[in-house]
Amino acid sequence: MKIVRKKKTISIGLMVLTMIAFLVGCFAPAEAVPPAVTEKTYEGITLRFVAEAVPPTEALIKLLPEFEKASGMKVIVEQYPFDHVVEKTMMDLAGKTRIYDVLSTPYQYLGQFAEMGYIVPIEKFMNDPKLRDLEIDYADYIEGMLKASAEWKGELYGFPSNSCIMFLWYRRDLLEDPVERGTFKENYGYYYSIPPTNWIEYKDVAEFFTRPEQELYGVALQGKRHDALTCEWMNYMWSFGGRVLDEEGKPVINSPENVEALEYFVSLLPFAPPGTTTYTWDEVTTAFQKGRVVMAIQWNDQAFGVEDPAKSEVAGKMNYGPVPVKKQPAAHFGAWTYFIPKLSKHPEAAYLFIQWATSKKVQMELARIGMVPARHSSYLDPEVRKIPFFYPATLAALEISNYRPRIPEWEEMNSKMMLAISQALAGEKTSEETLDWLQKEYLKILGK
Amino acid sequence: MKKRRSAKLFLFHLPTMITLMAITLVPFLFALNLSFRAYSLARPGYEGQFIGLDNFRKLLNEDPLFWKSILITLRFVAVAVTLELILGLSIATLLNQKIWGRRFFTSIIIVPMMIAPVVVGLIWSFLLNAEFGVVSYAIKKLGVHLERALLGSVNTALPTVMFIDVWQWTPFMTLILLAGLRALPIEPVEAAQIDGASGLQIFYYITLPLIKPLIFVAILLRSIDSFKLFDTVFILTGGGPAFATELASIYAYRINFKYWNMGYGSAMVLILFLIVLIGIEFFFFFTQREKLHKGVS
Repeated sequence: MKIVRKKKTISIGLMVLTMIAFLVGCFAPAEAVPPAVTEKTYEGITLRFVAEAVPPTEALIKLLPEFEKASGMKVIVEQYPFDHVVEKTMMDLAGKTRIYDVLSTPYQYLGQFAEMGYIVPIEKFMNDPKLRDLEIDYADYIEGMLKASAEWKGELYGFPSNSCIMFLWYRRDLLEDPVERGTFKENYGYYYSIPPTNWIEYKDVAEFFTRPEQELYGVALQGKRHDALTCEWMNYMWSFGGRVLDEEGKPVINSPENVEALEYFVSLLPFAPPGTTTYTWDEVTTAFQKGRVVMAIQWNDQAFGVEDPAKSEVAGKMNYGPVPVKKQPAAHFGAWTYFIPKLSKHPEAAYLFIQWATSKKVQMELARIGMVPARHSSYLDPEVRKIPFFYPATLAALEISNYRPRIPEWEEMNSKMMLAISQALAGEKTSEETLDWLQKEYLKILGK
Repeated sequence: MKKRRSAKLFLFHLPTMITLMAITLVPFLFALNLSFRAYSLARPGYEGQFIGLDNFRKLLNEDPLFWKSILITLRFVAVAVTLELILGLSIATLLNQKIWGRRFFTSIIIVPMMIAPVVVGLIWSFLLNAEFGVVSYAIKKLGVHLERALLGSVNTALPTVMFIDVWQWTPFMTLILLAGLRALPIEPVEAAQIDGASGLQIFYYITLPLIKPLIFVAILLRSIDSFKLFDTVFILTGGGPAFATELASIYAYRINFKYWNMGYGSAMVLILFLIVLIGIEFFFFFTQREKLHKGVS
């Protein structure tokens, strides 16, 4: 009898304590956040958010307590590598399990998700006076990015989340070294620009700096049969004047420009480290960190890793520039977008979250601690400008922002493109053969 | 009396049967149903309408990559299982002797088998990493210059994956064969020794024939398992470079979870199942035939 009574007292005590804690939590002071978020109507709600496991997401998590305190909501962030995020998101959307209330998804899935009715246009939230942040200033979003990542058939489906873009990484110290420049002039007859501005210079410099005995290579290619491969190659494709689909949406993947671009890409192989056919963006960063590589076409958000003195032997020796040009400038835009699933349990709360995450203040703070911002104003901030690769390289690249097709069939097309380019790199097929094969496959997929 | 007893036995078996059916039969029937339909999670217009044998026809006639992946899988199974058998038998024979530290070595040998396949993939990708992997470093130190990293060249990728499979599953063979060797009657061996037979002769004429049934079981189990292999290879190469390590399981995964073309993908998975089924039938047919010839039923 005594024990039972003791247990009863303890459990009642715990209940009371919990109630007090809950009540106290309800009246916590508000922080300085956009006006709409202080609306306590969404208090106590838990939002489940899924995103890619990269530094920008870590940065967002660091700022989450601000949002949670002000709105009373709790945000649970699930992070996974690229492949898994997509898989988990698809399973949730297709299986209608309603696990995730808000998503961060690669933007090429926009067409697929919109057509299948998985996500909702955000127009109605944007115009809802209860939700709209008075200081949101939609014009401040970099237009190219907003359109590429969130606009489909005239409707807006979200806001840009992580905006990464590809440009040229190079070892400033090596390229600027007068001894190297002099030797290059002797061997090649001209002085290269710093960094190289066209593909002929690029290859010459790559060849010049390939010194296997010193464990130094001119370039690194993201040569693994992986998303990274097609992402990198498409820069060359656009720069050589090629594209995947024409204006009417018909595939033109085996155009002469594309064949030339692929042949050029394959010709860089001797100037890359032996492991290059196993590289994705992560391994290219590692190669730079170890001082093994001089140049590469690589993602801007990876630069955090190479500028960190704790991890990188070349911190402070790097610089960034535009992708070399043949017919036109190119920069592969690889952003993620915040989407709201149609079956989200808390669509309005989700909208408040993404509005907060892309607000002026938050984007600026995020930029300072490791996320690439989607707003013009963030790039004007003096703190952000100090980050070597943000300005001017990232902003310049964002103005170009070539984006990959966002049609529903793109995943399959992308996967087949990975195979095609991998076969060209392995020497199993010539560039022309492999792109002819790809064209046939594309015609089959698109039913044209 | 007997009727009641068999009814009780049936009832006791019922929960297990229901569970097994739910886990194996139901998904199987679901996949079977899907394979006759056009169903894609990514493309509108593929809502699940019935299209008969169209998926199968396309797969068998219009998909050279499918056949390529089957070939790669068969090559993989043949080489890996053979190596595992030879190595496993050798190690088992060794461990069957009264050598010092026998128990210790037996326990160590088992370790690779106990590691989850995904973890094996991760461990070996780190070991084989071209920049900082221990194996790559050792290769360089030995003076061998590789043009491409082991997992990055179409010539060495599949052999490397085979090697890793052998590394992980030879212990399985070893254990089965060791158990068989230990259970062998000692009289025939003693008799042969008295007659003056050498160690090799004893092994070939007495030991081997006696553990043949066990060898067959081991080959069967390993073959089925390695035909299904997915995790390790997926982590190591994702099917690349080019098509070099694209096992049938990986290609099936790609169709189902990258292209989201699940009707077509279910058809492929069903065909894989049939292949394994037919393979097992052939296997039993040949091994039973041997038994009949020897007069053992």
